[in-house]
Amino acid sequence: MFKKKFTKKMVRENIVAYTFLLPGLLLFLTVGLYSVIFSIRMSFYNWSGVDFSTARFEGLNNFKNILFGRNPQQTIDFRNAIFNNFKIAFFSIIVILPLALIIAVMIQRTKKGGGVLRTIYFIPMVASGAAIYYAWQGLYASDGVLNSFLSKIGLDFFVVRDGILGNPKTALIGVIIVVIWTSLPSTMILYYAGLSNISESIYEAANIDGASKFTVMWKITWPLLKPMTVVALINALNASFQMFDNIFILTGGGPAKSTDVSGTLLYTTAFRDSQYGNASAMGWTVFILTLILSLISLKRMKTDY
Amino acid sequence: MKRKLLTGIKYLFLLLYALTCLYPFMWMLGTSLKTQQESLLDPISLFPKGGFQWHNYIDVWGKMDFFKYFMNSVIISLGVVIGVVIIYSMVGFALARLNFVGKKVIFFMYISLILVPGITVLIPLYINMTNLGLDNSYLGVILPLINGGAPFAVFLFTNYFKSVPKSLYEAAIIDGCNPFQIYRKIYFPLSMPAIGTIAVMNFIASWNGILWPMIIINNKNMFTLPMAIMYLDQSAFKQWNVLMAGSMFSVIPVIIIFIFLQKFYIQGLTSGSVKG
Repeated sequence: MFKKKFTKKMVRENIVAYTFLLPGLLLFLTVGLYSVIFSIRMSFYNWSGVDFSTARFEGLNNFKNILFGRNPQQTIDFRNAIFNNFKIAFFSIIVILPLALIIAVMIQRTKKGGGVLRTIYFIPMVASGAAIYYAWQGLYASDGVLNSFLSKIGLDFFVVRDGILGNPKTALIGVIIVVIWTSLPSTMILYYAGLSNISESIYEAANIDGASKFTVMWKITWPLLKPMTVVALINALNASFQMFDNIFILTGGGPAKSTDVSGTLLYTTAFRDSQYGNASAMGWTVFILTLILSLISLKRMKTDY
Repeated sequence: MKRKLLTGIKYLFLLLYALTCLYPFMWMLGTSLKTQQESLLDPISLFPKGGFQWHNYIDVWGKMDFFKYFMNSVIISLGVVIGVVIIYSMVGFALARLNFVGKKVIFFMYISLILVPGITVLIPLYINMTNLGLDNSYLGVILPLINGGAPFAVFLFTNYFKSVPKSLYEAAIIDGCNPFQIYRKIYFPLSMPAIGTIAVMNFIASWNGILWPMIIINNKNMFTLPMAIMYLDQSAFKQWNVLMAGSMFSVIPVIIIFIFLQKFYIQGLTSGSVKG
């Protein structure tokens, strides 16, 4: 008797719970899961869109196309894009991490005006969409701010005639500067939060022992912030491999593919060349790559702590 | 003395960085108030010498229906925010307070969603939405963006609801409330800080996003603000002053929202990182 009542109650609770979950699950199944499965499936087909019944099963050919030179041009383009992803990640990380830490330390000890400055520091991240990338285009343009400024102060030698973003040699540097400008705040706030969690007594003890400022930074603050650094690294890697909006507007991947990344290449492969299968294969290759990189970074953190 | 000098250097550095953050916006504002000729001949100066050309803003509204695009962006961003908050607060409530079969699977399912890069599922999403007849519709833009907001929202709501004392739930049950009433009258109103964080993060992300709207929308009437700005750019040569005037419409609202609700935004950034 008691047992029967108990299960009845459990059934009811399950029904209640799934009523709460229903909208979210419906959305997940139709939009999320369906797309993921379809996308995996598509990476094994040769298909130019419209009706999937016209698709031809190709096995691993799409992956061979983009990875192992079965379609030589596509392999070259894909490698170039991935390489650019890495370059952007690498150069932005080596600038962002130390700079974000320095600013976080400085602003944490700042009483006067600290709040206002912190607000200002966030605006690039918050307000960066199409609009702000166009402003950057204006700064970089051949007759734009940077070039005009350089020729005005007599440094004509440094003027890039086609504009920073119009020259294959300088375009990627231009893009990396924008990436640093927009993504520094998120790392800064990570360090800022991490710094607030370090107890004052550690610093006091170090002071009593007569440690210099540099020693405190190098031997105490930096190691204690290591978990934050790992998170920042993973975030930066993921962000760089998912990058699209900024590059699409700033350069569209050009000139001469010098700023093409996996995101823009996937976009043009799918929506300009209608090679849906190859584009999906690119997507999943990038996914596996970022997953491995994230796992490695996480593992490093675990062994260190 | 040495200490004062150091403080001075520190402030100089902090102010310089602040200027770096603001400069592109200042340039945007300055250029938006120049004549076309001045924007081309003198791109550097932040203050237009030939007087403030406020009519650039009116010109941009006259050139294309900016009010409509502005409203499209508002509707889409608000739709995403409302959807994410309602749908995933319910999921979070179930995960935090109810016992059911498959609980762990569902939590894991939502968290692992974060690993799937948006751009990978772009094509099937597009095909899927088109098949449902949702291309060029608000719903077609909004639904995938809601689903994209799921991992963070589920994570935050579940944790937040777990932090509400369970005795509150049990007391309400004894008082004769059913779980739906408890959710609607107690847990949902209590979760305002979590709602604020999730709302601001999702609003800003969907306001700025271009990739998905660009793919699912090709009807000019349905353009969002960023798309309208990109469209402005398609003229034969760049009219920087007009382009920047249009851009201001998309930048100002999001800056205002951030200034008022930055507490929530910053909370979101830090709580989002802990799970990494």
